[in-house]
Amino acid sequence: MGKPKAKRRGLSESASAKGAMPKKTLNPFEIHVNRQKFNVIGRKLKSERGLPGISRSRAMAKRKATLLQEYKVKDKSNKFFDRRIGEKDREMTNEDKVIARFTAERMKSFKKKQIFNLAEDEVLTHRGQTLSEIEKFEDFHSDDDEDVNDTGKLGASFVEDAHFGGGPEDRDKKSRKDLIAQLIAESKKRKAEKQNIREQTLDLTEKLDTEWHDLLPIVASSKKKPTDPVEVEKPDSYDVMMRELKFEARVKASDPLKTEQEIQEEERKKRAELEAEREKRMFGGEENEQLYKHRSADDLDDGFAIDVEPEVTLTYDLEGNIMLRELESTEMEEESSRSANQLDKVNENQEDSNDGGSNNDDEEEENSGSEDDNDDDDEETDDSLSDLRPSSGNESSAEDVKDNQMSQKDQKEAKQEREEQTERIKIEDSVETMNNKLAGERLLIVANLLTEKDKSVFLQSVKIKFPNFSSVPETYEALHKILKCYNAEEQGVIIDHIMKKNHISLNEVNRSRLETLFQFLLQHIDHSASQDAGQGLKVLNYLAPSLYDLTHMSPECVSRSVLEIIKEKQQAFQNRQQKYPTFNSLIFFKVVSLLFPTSDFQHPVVSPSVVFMCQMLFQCRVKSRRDISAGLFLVTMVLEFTVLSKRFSPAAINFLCGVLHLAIPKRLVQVASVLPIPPFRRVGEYSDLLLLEDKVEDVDAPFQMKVADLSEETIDTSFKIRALASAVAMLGEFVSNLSYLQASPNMFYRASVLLSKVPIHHYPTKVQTEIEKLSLAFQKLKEKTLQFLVVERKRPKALRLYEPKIETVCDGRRIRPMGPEKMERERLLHKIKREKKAALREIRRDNAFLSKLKFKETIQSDKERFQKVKEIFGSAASQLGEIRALERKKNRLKK
Amino acid sequence: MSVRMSSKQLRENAQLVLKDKKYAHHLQNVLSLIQDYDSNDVQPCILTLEMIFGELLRRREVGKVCTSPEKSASFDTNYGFWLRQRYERTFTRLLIVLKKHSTASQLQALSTMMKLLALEGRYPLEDTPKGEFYFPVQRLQFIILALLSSEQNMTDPLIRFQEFTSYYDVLYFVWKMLPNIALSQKKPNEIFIKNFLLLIDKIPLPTEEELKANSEMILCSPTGILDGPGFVLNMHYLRKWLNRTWGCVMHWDHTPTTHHQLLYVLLEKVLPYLDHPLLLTDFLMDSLDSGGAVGVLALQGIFTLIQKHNLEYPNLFVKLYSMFEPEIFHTKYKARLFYLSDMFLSSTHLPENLVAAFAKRLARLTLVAPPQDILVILMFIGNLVLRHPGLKRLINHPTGGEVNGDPYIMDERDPLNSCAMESSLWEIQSLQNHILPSIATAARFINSPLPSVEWDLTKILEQTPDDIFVRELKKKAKEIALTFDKPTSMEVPGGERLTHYWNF
Repeated sequence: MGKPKAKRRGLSESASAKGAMPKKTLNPFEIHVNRQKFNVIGRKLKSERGLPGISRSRAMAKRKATLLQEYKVKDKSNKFFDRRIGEKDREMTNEDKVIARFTAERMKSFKKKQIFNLAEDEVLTHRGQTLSEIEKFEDFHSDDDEDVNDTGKLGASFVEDAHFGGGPEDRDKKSRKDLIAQLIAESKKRKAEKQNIREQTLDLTEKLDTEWHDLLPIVASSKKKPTDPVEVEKPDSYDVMMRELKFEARVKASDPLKTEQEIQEEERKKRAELEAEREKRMFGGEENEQLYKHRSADDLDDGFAIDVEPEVTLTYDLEGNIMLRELESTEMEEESSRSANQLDKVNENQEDSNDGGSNNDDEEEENSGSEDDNDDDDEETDDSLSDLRPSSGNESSAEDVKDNQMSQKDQKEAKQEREEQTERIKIEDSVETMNNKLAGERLLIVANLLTEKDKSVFLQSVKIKFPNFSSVPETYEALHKILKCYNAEEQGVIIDHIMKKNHISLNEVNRSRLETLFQFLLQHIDHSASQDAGQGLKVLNYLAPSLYDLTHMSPECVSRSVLEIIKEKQQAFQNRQQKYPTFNSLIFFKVVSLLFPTSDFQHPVVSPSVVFMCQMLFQCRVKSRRDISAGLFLVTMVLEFTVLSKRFSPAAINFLCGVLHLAIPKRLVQVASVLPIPPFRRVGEYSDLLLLEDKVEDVDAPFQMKVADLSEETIDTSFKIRALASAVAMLGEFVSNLSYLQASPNMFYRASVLLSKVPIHHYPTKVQTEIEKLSLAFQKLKEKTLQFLVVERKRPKALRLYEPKIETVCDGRRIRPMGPEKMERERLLHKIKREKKAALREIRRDNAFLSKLKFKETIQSDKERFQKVKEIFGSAASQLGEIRALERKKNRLKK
Repeated sequence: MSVRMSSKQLRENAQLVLKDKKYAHHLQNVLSLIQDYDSNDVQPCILTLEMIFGELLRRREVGKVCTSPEKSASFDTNYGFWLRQRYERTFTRLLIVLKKHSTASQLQALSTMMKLLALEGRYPLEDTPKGEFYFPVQRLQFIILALLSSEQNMTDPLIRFQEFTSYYDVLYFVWKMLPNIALSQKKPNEIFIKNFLLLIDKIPLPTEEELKANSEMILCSPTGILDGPGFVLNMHYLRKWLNRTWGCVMHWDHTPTTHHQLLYVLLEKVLPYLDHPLLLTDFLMDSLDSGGAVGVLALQGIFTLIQKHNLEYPNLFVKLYSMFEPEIFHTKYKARLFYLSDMFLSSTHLPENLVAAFAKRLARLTLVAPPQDILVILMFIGNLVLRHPGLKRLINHPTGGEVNGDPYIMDERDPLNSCAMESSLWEIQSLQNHILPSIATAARFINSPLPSVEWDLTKILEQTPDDIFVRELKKKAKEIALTFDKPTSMEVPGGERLTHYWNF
């Protein structure tokens, strides 16, 4: 009993004992006091008191434990450490050692990682199964089931035969071997039978278990029935309540499901973020050009500017009335930033389209061009709707306040007004939504031509033909073999299917496979476009979503492969410059515009493509319908690239000017500034490809370019009209995009002169109106006022500031004022110095210790030597004595 | 004897001829082959003949020309006479090949003739007066006349001929005969002029350094006679002949292409050796007016005249100003033009409004120029502003404010009246929104204080669009931005333009 008690005393008591015990009284003679000259109250010094004796002995002990040991094994290369726990400890019993070692082993398993992992304990197992699994007792079959008789003993008959076999006479002649074999067979058979029975019973039990559940209600009801209904008390309402509360279904708290609105909101936010990012990239690190009138040295550059009221001197006119001069606010104009300009532009477009000009493009731009505008529109409608509410605390309440103050009659009128307003907005909205819907429907039709069912049926059919088509093919030839059997739409479905079957989430290996698939797809587009432009575009049309998904899976690889293709095409172009490449080169610009943000200031894929496009537009000769169409295609792509960024490309405008020039009778062009710029010829064979000789009847068809234009060589009237109409329309869009630039009048000067020379009356009325509209826009451009260039004033440089001289703690010592870095350095240097000192002292003492040790050793060895010498002398003397004694004896005997 | 012979057979024939005189008739066979074969197969024959006669000349077996073979003459003399006849005929045949046949054969014939000519110079056929340098001038004259064909463009043979003009004796004798040839032609056709100019282009007079460096390059050096007469290149004569030739060439009627070539040759090869280069001024000024590539070349000539010969020409800047037209970007010599105009405008003593007019005109051109030229022009304008601090008002107007329309008059021919100083370089500001990032960045130089050192134009003068493409490819981005609208079809969500203008 004594032992556990002693153990139980343990920590707490010893701790309290420590606290309670008075400090070991020190012999005052052992204490050394460092006297100080001046006492500073509150300062604690480490070196106030010292215990030289104790510290010396401690240092000695330490040296003995470390330095001495080292000294002993010095110059000895082999070492043997016995690290067994408790091996050197004589006091430990054998059992203790075992326990200690076991605990050490256990401790080892508690790695540092697991220190804080309280829940996970060592998993105990029994025959490879965790105990917890076993302890579920789910499949518990008691051993009682086992046959009681089966005790593992031999059967009685066997024993009788084998053990007590009497005489062999009445037995069958069976050898012992046969007997044993028979025995084994029998026991096996018996075992198998037993196993069989056991399984059967198990099955039955399980069956019973399951069926029993079905039976349960019947049993319960049968149980209930006999009970008397009277006996059932009506439960107390309190109890009911309590139980209800108690057993109320509780659900664990989880994230609330997001409502549709919230999801939309989130999407919207994400979009806005992405768009903001895109905008940022669009400006390419160029800081916003905000012109400050005055910039002070103290400016924090946070865009905050104090609106200085213009100082108005109070003046009176001759009659003594105060003169209030409206200062022209030039600042306003300067502040009108670029975005505002754009907004205005969009509004203008909107007006244009509402005015009845059936300009499809403008409307489209409004719908899909910039989301911001739509948002703005939405906000407007919201505002006006909230206006409708009788008590509106809205920001547009200036009017409302007035309205409220008016009489009821006025209110009625106002209401009417507002209603009208909302109606108008509604109509506008509906028009807009109609447009949106139309566009959306078109997309839907394109995307969902095949319903899901059809798709699966179709895929089945594909599978029959190509059993393993859903894996990514190894080579392009394999893919091409599959795809060439189907039309573009079906190809899209197949690729989609392949991508689904090989999604990255299924296997990380799929990433590289899909990357190669992307390359194959590009090759496929190239191939189909080289055969037929329309086919190539169709294929691209249906593959676009897949390409997009693939791009987002691995942007680096995709951009690399697209760039590779562009590079290849450019090299091919280099070899035969001055000739437009075939459509399978041009189509990749569309791919670029689909996959990468073309508005970026600099983009690793987009920028080289742009360079390539400009190069072609500047260098390629225009000799046929194909050339004109290819050029117009490129110009359209340039336009698409710059729709958001509103950038300026001389190549595109030059080409459009060239197209205009092709449609002009040459005797009119005499002014030097309207000569076409190469690659277009001033005169000659190819200088009037698009010239219309006679008037053409009005046609109802839209004047869009056609796919066939990209491959055919001969030029017909319809093409002449369409090319010019497209050029005019594109010029119009360029004008509206670039009109914010100061040099825009000069940019389009050439185009405007050329346009005025076009024989306008030969064209259908629709084209005529377009041309007139464009010339109006040119006219407008010419009236543009230009602001002189003024370099933004640089912010004045602030005076150099010094560190303020602030002492936080005043303790008599002056710390030199210095920067934090220098301070840290000084501190470290000081520390090094002190540490060095301490180390030197330690080394000195170590030396002293060692020399003392050596001295002792030499004394010891001297002593031993003396001892030995003495012994030798002694033995020699005794030997001599013995010899002499012997001699003496001899002598005596002789005598 | 129109049997085709393989080159092996030909070689065997040649060896037979060389081995013994009795097989000499084989030579006749080979010779007749040149006539019979069509142009492609002549080469082996020519080579064989070269081999045979090369060896024979070395052995000095080819005899002298005699009017009538004497009966009394020995067999060797007769044989030599016969060989001489064959030799002369070979030469005429080769000349025909040079005039008529395909390029490869022409080249082969030319080099064979030149080789034989060299051997003939070393082992003269006729007796030469001792102490004089012997050169078979007659043969060379035939070759030159063949080269200066009026029917065929002889570019390739002339380029091959250039290899031989590094021998001073060839150079000397060619120049010696050129004035007479030039004089003999009163109204040469275009092909002849082209060939003639090309020949002049290929036989440049050696410079002083070259003369000092290698004076041993002589084709017909008499190696056999150790103490034979040496050849002395008389530079004085060469210059005289050159001036005389050029005088003739200038008076021919020139088409635009030959005019162009004439200017090129004049500038590159002839101008430094002319006695009175200032006489060319009118010619150059007329050329300057024609504009384009010819204008640029003429400008260079004028520059040389101004620089080296103290030419003063008051109207120069007006002419230079009128050369900056949009078409200039598509001519061959635009780099030269930019370089020269940079030189012309490098003087800081020019009136500011003149320089401003240049800057403004160049800026206008950027609106239609290809990217590589925009970069050059931007640096050019930057340099102009750096040299003339007064031009800073073009990028930083002292008072600010606004104006209705650009005051600068593009169509004004006189740069001083173009009102450029009242304008601003809006074009450069607009270029900051150029579609190519490199240009947009380059155009930002007007936003910040200008550097103190001028930009070096020469580095980017020769840039091609392909260079820009490659440079754009090399730019690496940390992250590749992607579109975030998933397209359902070919149409780009929010910015589709292609399907608006195209009906697919």
